[in-house]
Amino acid sequence: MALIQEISELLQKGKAKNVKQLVQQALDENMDPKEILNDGLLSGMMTIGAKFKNNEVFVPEVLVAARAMNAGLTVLEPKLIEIGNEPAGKAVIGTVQGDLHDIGKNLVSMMLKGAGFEIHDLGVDVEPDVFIDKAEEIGADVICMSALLTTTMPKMQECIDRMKQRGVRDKYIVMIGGAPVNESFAQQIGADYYTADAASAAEVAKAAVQKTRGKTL
Amino acid sequence: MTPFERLKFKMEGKEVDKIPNLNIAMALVAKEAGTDYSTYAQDYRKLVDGNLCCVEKYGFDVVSAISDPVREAAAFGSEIVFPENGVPYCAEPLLKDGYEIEKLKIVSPYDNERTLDRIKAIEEFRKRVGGEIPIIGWVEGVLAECADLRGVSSLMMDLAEEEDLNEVMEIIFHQQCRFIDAQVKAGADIIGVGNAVASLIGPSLYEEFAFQYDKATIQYIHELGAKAKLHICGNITPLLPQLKMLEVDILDFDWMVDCQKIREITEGSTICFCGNIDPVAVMLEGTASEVEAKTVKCIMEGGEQYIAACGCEVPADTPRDNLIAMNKVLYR
Repeated sequence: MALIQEISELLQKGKAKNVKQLVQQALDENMDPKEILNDGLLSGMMTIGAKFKNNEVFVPEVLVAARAMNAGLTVLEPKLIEIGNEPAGKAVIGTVQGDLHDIGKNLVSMMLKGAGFEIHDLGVDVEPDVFIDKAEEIGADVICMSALLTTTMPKMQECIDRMKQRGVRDKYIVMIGGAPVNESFAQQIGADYYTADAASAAEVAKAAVQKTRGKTL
Repeated sequence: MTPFERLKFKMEGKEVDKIPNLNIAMALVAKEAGTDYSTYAQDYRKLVDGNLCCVEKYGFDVVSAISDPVREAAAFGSEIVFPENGVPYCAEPLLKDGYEIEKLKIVSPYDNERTLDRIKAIEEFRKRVGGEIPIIGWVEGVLAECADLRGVSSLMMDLAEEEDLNEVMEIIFHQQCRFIDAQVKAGADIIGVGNAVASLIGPSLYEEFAFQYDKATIQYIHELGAKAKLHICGNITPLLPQLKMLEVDILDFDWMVDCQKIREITEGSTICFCGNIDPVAVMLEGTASEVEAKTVKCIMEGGEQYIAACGCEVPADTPRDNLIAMNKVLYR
């Protein structure tokens, strides 16, 4: 357990090489890959997310922690696939068409990954149909859209309208975020959730997927 | 009072007939000039016409040579993309592979089309409304320019790794001073320093990488006899104690910063603070009476040092009634 705790702590400090080494060591010692994932990597990322939300750490610290998480995952993922570990959900994420801002989108992507999601990051300047096509292709649970400009936020509405036209709106949880976006805008365009920060986005996405799966089972 | 007298008196702590309206507008200016964003960003005559429309129609108390953050990046040699109706951006970061400073072109601001266009805008403002309406020139803050050249994500990682950025930042600072000098000579009364990227970092990295350059930039503006306005959109609450030490004349603050908090922290200083009205939830989506109520709230909470503005750019599709409602309240 001390080793798992150390992985979590080094991840929070952004020590990618050390995290990678310790994950390998934990696997060599026959520790449960799920335990390494949940109590080491994801727990470390959740702690960073909470600190980010409380202004205790800032964007640079989150980015290096995420890099450390990814370094650990490169070692761990083959084992997780081997044992058939299921992700917490599948999410398609991107910044909407005409908008090239990616920091907020990247933070949400990292936090979702830190919450155990399988992420399909479409990058920036993403057309409405590209979000939907990817979601259909991978069987996504969530579509996350980001916009930083008041001139591009209407593209979120366009994507939701397009989902309706294609008859797939109800298949996905739609989440939106970005500086000009707010709760009332989310309601106005028919998105399911708006979150103000990346850590909240991960919490809300996880709870929403659990709720949806609960309903369907 | 003319807008010039009004803002001057306000900054001197004297009585004014109206709280100055310092809204920042870009897409709205293009719209008022009857042109697309790309033309507005590249033709100073359109920028000037659009600004003067906003003064006349919405009561703005400044004119501003702002359009996009990549004018200096263009001068450094970045390739710029101009979407017809979007903000210009760098095709790719000039320093994407690292701090290869030999890639940076060092040219006079008069020798690059994009920086010269801003200088010409200020000269034109000077001819048409100089001494009557305050003229704001703009530069990127040193950290923001570093982000424009390196890419925001890469810069954030570099800061976390505590890379040595001294050489590149010194070059940027030197070039920004030349650009400031040219704009003040052209007739700018105020230089706005845009440093939005600073809201992504905490006090410790701000202290290590940005504080000294923001301080030196503001000092340089003062040495030239102009006033300095610092614009960092986003949540700057954790940075407020340091920003107070910069001795800036006007500090912009976005909607998520608490107005009373900024008043408490800046107490005892001569800093005017400007902003706080939510550009989307209130200005774009609210009713005229909601805009009026929020403006009054900001004035009450901000006290004598408050100057009216949205937290960041006024959206182009803001209802005209909302802009007028905001301006009317400022005469009370």
